[in-house]
Amino acid sequence: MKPDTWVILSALLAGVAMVAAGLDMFRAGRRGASASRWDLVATGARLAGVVTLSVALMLNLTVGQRSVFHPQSVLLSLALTMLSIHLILTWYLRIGGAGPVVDIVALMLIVADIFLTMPTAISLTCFSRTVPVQVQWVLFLIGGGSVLVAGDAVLSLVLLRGMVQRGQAENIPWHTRLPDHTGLYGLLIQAVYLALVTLGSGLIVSVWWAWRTVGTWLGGDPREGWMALAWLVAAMSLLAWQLGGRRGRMMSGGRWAAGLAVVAAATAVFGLLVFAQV
Amino acid sequence: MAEETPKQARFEPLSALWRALAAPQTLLVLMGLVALAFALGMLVPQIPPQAASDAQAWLAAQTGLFQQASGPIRALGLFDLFHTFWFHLLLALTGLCLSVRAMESMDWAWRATGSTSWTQRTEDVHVAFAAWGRHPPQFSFSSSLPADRAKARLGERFRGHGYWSADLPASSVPSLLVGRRRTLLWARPLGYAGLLLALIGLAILATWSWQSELWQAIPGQSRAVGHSLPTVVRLDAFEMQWGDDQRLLDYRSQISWLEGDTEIERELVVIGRPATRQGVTVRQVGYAPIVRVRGRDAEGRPLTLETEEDVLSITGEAEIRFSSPESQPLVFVSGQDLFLAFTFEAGCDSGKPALRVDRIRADGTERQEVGVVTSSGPVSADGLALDMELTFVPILRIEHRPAMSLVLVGMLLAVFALFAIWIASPWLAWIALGPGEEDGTQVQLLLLPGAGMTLWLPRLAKGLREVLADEA
Repeated sequence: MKPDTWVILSALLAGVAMVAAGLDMFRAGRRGASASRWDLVATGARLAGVVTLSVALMLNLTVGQRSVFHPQSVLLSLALTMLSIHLILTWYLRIGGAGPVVDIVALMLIVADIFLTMPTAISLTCFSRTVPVQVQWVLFLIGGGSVLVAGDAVLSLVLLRGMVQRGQAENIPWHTRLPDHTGLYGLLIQAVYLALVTLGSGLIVSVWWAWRTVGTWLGGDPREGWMALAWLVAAMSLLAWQLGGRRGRMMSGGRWAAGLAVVAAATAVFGLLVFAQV
Repeated sequence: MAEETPKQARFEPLSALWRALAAPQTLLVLMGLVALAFALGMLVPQIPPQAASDAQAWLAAQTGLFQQASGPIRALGLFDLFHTFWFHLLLALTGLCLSVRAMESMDWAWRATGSTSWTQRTEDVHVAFAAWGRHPPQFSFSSSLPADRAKARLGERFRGHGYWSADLPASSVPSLLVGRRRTLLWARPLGYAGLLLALIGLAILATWSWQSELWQAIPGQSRAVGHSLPTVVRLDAFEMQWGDDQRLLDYRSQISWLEGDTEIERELVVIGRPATRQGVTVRQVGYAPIVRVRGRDAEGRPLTLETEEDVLSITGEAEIRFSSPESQPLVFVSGQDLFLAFTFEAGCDSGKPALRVDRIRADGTERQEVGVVTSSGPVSADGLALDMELTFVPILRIEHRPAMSLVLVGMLLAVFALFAIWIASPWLAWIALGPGEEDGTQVQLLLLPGAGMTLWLPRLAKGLREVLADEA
């Protein structure tokens, strides 16, 4: 099959996961009850999506002759890392599927890949082909996927809050199967830590290699600067937890942390995509 | 619980300044400003070092929005943002804030891991916990057990589950300090110290480092290091190693360090493995071709070639140098009213480095490939015969970067600390047991602020309630 077929298959799976997770979210039931049928469908579709995205990415690099830095490769890589990290962290935290937001974002990334048309010729410099640069790039992609998961957790929190408020206003006995705010904040914290460690490691590799080769402290690639900025904002998100709460508002630090995590996600995506090379 | 509330100390300016610098709000605001400045510095084009001597010309060459709004952008110093006074001040304040926070968190870690008691005097208890911030995660509930029994039971339960706990004898009410993986409380000061080290390293780099222009050296050529140093660097040889399939495997420069005419030392410089002597580094940045071209027309008559550097026509032969491997030098062939464009394709690990020659009509309307060469030899097309002699030279750079390793060590420490905190999740809690209703106890639980502590607090409080409710 052609790379595009695998990309379309990934989009379909993300769509299935989105619908299943959405149906699961609105299903009346006790929170924390055993996984529902729709939840299992969503998780299965996400796992299959990880496999199809991996194949699509490999074919994109080999048959499609696109470099790892090509915007289409970046979109696929981000969707892949985001889904993988989401699956691992939600399994580790035992918070179920955690809603359809991650699938919506994955679908957006994959659809953007389908409609994006850019030259496919590889024009990497010798510097970009070296192993440390490739390692740095993988770490940046994992970091980018992590901040996206953090951003998804924040959007799920907003969704949860909206649903609860609407339920209270309309006096509906609303039982959503989204994890409670503790579970979603837990997902946010874990994703931010992972982003800080991976983006930080990527920046260390970047600085070390730029120093050894060209003698500067950054390799002259604007994406390194944007990843440093994403790291800084993610660090602010972690620090914001120390603001604590005031007069009963226990989660005011958490709200700042959530807002900053969204900014970090936007910065990482902007830096990885806008300054991508073909 | 009114007794446990830290007493309002009289106003002391230095203490207030310390508290302001230690507050997470201050560091957050400073980090936010640094992030904003960083984003602006990446969005607004910055004056490159090579244009610093003629910044006016560089500013005049800007186009689009940056030309239209150059007045306000320039007034704010955004074209040279990373060298402005206010950016340096921002970094200095951030450094100050980081050092205060490093010392504060070191104090908690020292108190929690030291063999001495947490505090000596009642006032110290208040001072110590004041450092946990104005709004640390806290929870309060009442128990029917008397304070001493409640304290004994809590201590026993925590120790039984492998937690560390210690008494706070100086506290005005029975108090316990409880923690998990307390040794890793040192990770927090380590992280702040790492960031501070990286910041100091960057400051040293910005102040004392220098680097030379790129040097395309020919074997036998020398260059003085400069900067009041007597050392001279001489390129002795440049060697390219080719594989059996004609791929370029490696390239290296043999250099000598000289003082006057005396040779001090010989060293090999490879990409990623520079030569260093007395803090001065010679780095292999890359390599570039030098081409000698002789041209003839269809009748075999020599052509007049004009290079960009050489305004005078040289009949028959021109030497073409690449200012960088990415540059595309042009040669004007006056007799045929066309330009020759030379493009270097490094090939990396996938093939042999090649030189592509295109011809472009003088009016720039048409570009056509003449040929691609990987070694010296002739190339001809449409009445144009070129005889090319291709050699390669190393691109070297001499520099002094005194604190680069400090930046790296600082970054490593910060990332390691974050990893340790993430994996081990150390925590520290203060449990104060004050008099409650009907001989009972009012339990106040205070957690050292950190990511997620607010979320975890109700669970911990629930556990404590259960422990204290067993025999109620």
